[in-house]
Amino acid sequence: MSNIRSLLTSKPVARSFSIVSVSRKAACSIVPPVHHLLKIDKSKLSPRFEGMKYNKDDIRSPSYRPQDTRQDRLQEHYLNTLQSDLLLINYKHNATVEKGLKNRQWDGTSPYQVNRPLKKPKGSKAELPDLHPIKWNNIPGLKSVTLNCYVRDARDNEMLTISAALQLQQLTGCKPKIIYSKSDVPNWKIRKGHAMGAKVTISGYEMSQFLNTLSEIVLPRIREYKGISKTSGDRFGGISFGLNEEEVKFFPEIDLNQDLWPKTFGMHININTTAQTDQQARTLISSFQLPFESGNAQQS
Amino acid sequence: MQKRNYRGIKRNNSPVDIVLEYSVSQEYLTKMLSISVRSCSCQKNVVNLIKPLNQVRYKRTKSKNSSGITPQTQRIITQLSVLSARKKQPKMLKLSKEDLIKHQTIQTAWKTYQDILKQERQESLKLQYNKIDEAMNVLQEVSPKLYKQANVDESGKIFPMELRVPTDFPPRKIWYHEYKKQ
Amino acid sequence: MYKRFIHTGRITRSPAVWSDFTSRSTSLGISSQAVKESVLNGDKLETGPVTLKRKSNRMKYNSPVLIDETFKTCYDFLEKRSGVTYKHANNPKINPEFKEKLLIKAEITNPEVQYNFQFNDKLDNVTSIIDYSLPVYRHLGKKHWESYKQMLLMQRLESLKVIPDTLPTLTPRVSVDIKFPYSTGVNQWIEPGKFLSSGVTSLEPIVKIQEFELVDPKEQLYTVLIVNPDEPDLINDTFKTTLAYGLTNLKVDYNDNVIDSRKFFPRNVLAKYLPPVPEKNAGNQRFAVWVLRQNMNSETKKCDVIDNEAVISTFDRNNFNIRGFVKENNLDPVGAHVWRSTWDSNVKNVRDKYNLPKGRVFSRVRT
Repeated sequence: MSNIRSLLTSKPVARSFSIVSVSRKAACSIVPPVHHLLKIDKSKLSPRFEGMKYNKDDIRSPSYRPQDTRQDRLQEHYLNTLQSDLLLINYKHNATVEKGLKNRQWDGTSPYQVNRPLKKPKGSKAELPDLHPIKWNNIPGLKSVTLNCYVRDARDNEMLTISAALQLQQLTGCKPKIIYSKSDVPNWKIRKGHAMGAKVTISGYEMSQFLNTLSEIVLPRIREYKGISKTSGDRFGGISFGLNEEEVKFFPEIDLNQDLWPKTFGMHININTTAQTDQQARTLISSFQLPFESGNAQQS
Repeated sequence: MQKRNYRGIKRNNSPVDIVLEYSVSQEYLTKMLSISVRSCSCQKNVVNLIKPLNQVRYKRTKSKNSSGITPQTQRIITQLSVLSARKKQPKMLKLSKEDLIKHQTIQTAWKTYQDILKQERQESLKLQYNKIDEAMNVLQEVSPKLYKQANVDESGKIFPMELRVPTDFPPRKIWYHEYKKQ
Repeated sequence: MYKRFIHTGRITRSPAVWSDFTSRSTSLGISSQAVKESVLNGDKLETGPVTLKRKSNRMKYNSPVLIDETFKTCYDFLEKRSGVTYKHANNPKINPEFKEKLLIKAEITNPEVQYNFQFNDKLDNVTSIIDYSLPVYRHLGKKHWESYKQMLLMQRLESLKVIPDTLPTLTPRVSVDIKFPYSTGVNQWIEPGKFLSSGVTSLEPIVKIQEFELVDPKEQLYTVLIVNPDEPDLINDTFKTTLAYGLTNLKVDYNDNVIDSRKFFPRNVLAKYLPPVPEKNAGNQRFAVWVLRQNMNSETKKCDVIDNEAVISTFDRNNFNIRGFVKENNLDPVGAHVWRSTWDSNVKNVRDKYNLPKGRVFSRVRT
């Protein structure tokens, strides 16, 4: 509303007839003011690229992809069985919102504290999110799975990253990205900007398919597999574990034509969930038949 | 210095020879060299720049791909072509007006139906939560001891490995009745 | 069984909501019987889709597999839901805004409505196909307008600085289109910001005001002002705004909404049309068309009428203060349009036609 009011008081620019061209030149570059509140999408105004004007869910758009073309077994299992179980497991009577650590105010003793950014919280470098009690509308669920493949040998032969990307594409059916080293590390002989591996983030049906293959075909075939480490987790509901280059060969996509895969690459599997803590995430992931290390996982 | 000789041009095969036959003086060549290509060490390249008009194209004896590509490079090219999305793009569907409307109707109906299902699930979960809450409230009053047991923190609980994702085609033996937990 | 049939037949209404045109407008259905048959019962057609005109195209065309069967299921599903929504909407207790929303919801999924709207002219609409007095078509029209024309207009108003040079800002709510249809003009709708030659603009434009909101078209009155903020003012070394055309107390229907000379009387005219006659070397002139809603009295449900004869004496059309005029008469700007004019060789003829003084020619002076 205050925006509207400021617009309503805007006055026309005073122009002189005799020196029209000179009068409004600024000595520095300025952003011209906008006098209306409507959002203008320039791509819609351009006469080019007719197809781009449609929404992505319109079949006339070039980026249209059909959704829900097949049954998602894992998702249905989650909706039909797991959701209510997870609600029960995570239930705590009279639970309230647990405040996370937040930035602290300055005490105002020094005039230099005016406009200074707030103090960091005690015992943490950054603010931590609040923990909300689990109710019917925030039951932990799967968000996405990120596979990343760091190839150490790629520092000598960048072409290996292409093979790694191809491997990820074979396993997931999605197009991976090549990853590049962010900085120079002389000890590891790594230079900045060098291709070092590949990664791909999958969600939806591809994610379910991948997790099914992993839990039903790959992990059972690994000898003496101990399970996902009980210390794994990023504190906020992300669990990760790894497979080495030998274990990757158990994926049927690679197993069935091993001749084509003289070299395979180990990879990290990061499972991102909507869980707020690692414990919640562990409960969720264990329900998809992914084994965890035996022992008291509740302690960590 | 050589004289210009058309017959000689036709007889000669090598493009280098042809140009030399063109009676271009050596001075002219060096001049061209300095003007057109500033740092060209190989004179043959420069000579190729000034091809005669009636050059004959001969049949290629070496295939384009096999020249100088090692099997390793070829392998990487193949891998890149597999990764490329270009050939995997399906053709865009051209629908008639009727089919477009039908398609839109189907899509709307499906979305509406999914929304209804989602709402129903949320309703039932809400009901479950409220019932759990209600029962715990009662239990807290009736039996504090049982209440304490019921309210034990279960976070980090692991589902048993026997919980399977259901399949359309279940195994021959549906249930292991004699199963004992190890 | 017989008994039960009679019993149920008496209490349930016919479930086919979308094929019942006794209480619904016929513009909610496809007018051409062949096309309607092709959309609703495509599987019974042996010749392929009717909208493909050439026979060879029809022979070549392949519909997606099972689309008709799936469509039927979906149609029934949506129709049933529409029936429920209609039942809510027919409740006399609900307020008109909510009723409008329900009526939109009941018809927006109707494939016949979608067909009518998507494949027919939305600007020069035929009432039997697109009837803007129906909430659903108004909603679709608004969405269509917002997807392109509204943004284009605002971009032009902003980049040509019509806002804030004439009025401070605009929240567009009605679609405004102009056309110069008479013998000298071009018979097409003008894109905002276009340069028009003096010959084209020598006779007054017609203005189309398309309302999308729920207003009372029988009571609501509109004012149309065309102003030119680029008239040179040599005495003060600046520019002044002139009023090129002014109409007041106009009534606009949802469908019959083109304001031409047949739609108003001399008493509606605030200022007669003076065509753009830019002077040589004095730059381009912008002509901003402003459409303003007159104030609706919330108690009496009547619109305030502007008394033209009284108002005319309060302003000078050659030095017009549009902001003051809008404030004094309690007007609400809801739509705008703009075109540009520049000097051309025909200006002289236009000046002669309207008995205007001879135009000046400016030239650069070294200072």
